[in-house]
Amino acid sequence: MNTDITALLEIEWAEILPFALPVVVFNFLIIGIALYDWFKRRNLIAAPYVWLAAIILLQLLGPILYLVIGRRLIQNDYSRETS
Amino acid sequence: MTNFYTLTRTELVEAAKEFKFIWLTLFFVILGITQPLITKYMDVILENVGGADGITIDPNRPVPSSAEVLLSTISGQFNQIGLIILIISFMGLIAADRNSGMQDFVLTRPVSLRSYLLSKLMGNWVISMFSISIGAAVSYGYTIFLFGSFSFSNFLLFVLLYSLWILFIVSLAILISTFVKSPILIAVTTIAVSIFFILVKGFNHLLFQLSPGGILNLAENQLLSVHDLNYFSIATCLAFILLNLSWANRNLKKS
Repeated sequence: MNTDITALLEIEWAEILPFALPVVVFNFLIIGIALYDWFKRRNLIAAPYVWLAAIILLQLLGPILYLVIGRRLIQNDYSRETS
Repeated sequence: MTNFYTLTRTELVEAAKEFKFIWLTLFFVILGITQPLITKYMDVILENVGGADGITIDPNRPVPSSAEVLLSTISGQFNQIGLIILIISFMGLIAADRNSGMQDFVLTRPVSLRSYLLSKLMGNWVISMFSISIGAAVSYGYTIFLFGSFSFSNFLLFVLLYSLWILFIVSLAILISTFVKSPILIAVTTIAVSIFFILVKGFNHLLFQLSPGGILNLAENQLLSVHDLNYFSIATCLAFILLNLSWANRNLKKS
């Protein structure tokens, strides 16, 4: 991960923005969907705050992993012990 | 066939409730947009992002044609990271049913095993193709905008042939989930086998051309406007899908 934020100030935004904007918007949209689902189920799923960090910090992969795996891992899942 | 219809609809409704249509589509759209943009603006990106001092890009480099960019989007992005996410998204298609006891519940009704398996295949195929075709269409739009025009009918033919490959992947996942219990293992095995087929299709030997990966070769050649195509691989791909399904059917019947 590139943590040098000052590089962001030097980018010629006007040049890049029209093309980069859809990518940014879609990324935020997918994070938004994952956060909405997380907010509804935060008392239900196992380790909710770990998943919150994953959704926000891992770009693109975090929300998808949450939606595929995270929302199914439920606290006190008794069905797993019997199988 | 009404059983098949009901089960397929259940599958689609379940996917809609999990926002699967939305996030899978968004994921493929992002994948499809990123590749043409990076190809086009590589020099701008390298100039502006720090830590790239001393790297120069040949200013006289040939501009890739739109067909090449589309090809690199599909075979470089959709067929690698896209395939992995796709398989992870349907790794539980039979395992989840079995572990929650829903499979016994469904199969004790007057529902044939065949319509159950076919509905799984159909439902997941429709979901995947919905997302992939939207992602590919957006990628196509960006590509012709940035790199010049490309025949739409060839692109359509390509998506049709690519959908057969996705159908094969879904049937492979069904087959493997009759052998293995844990969803994660199913995903890993399916990814490994499908990547094996993708690798093997490159060898120029009749045996490898007849493997299911041959359909990918045929699809990619639609983009490159190669004549002398081997349409026989459509038949072999369909045969492999049927083989997978009947094998899965037999395995489930035994257990």
